Amino acid sequence: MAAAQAGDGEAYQRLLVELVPLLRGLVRSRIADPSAVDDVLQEVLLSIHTARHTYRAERPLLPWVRAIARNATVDWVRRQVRTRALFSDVEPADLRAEPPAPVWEPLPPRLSRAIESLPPAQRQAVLLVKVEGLSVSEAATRAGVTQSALKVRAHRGYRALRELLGAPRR
Amino acid sequence: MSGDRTHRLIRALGADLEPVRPVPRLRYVLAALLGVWLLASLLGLALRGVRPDLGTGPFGSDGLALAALGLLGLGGLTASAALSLPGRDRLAGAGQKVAFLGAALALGCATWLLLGAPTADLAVGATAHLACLAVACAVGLAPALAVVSFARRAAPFRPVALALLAAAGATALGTIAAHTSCPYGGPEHLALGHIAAPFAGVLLMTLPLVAALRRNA
Repeated sequence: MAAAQAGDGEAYQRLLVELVPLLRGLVRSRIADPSAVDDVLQEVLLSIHTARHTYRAERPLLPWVRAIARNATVDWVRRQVRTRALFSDVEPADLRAEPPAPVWEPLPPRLSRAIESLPPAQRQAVLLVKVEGLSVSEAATRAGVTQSALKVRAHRGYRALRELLGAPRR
Repeated sequence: MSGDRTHRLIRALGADLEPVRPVPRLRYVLAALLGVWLLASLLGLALRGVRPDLGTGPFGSDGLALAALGLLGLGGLTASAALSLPGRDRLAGAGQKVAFLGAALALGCATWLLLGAPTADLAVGATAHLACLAVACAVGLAPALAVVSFARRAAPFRPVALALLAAAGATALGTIAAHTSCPYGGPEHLALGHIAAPFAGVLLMTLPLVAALRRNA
């Protein structure tokens, strides 16, 4: 992890691959729905990624990893409960209604095209935060992902947009 | 298929990896928080001066009140800083226990003072109580903001608990500064103007601190 903090991508990938069985076990012990385990596992990996600066090399790694896995899993469960409550009164007819027009239509055409070319998850994160002006927590709730996951998606989206629009890197 | 997705994600995370600076050690963070509190307290003492009868409070309660506030302050700030970091649950739990002990002692001390106070003393005035509450909150604001600033850099999972403990701990430490510089005496003032301050601090500061933690989180 110390090497990963220094920017060693290969060491980081090796570490995450080694952690996957442990993380899967931790997630499986807390999530009743087996089909959701891999989704939650990916949330945990994203949480580890966004919180990697909070690890201190002189402390054991596993308690840190377990705490992140537990928090991400609890977050996921809470989100599921909220989502179920939010959509409990939605009628099936509502779901067949006409989808709303894309919110980025008034943007300059070049920017609009660049946003459209982003992968769906990044596009959604950029639109929610930068175009609709939602806070990260609101956007994360809307997208049904953790705040950490949304931040990673938005960050990648901004970077892709910078490259697409030819803006200089910071 | 889902295993493929997981490994694709791992490859993407590794490919995009940028170096990060690890957060400072928790003991340095706590030392810095106490330093911030000390500076704010010294400023308060410079403005108000040291109370002349320090240590001779009613029923020898000065020592008990200061001990309760110290426990609440140190426990609260330690727990809130530990709650900012994954894997520091034991330290956070220990800090919470110390803070609860301090709060219980403070409540006990306040009850003892109020029940044992002569009626003539019960007229120090609300202005005096409010002045000390204001000093406690003003001095406590500095360490509270410092711990929130650290938490925003870290990865807090329970922002409400973190903010509540930070508000209680920081105001308790602020109250120590208010107590040592307060020109007023009397058991009622000690109970309502000093010992009650951390509880008022929780009411006043928790929600703004939660908002600060969540802002552009």
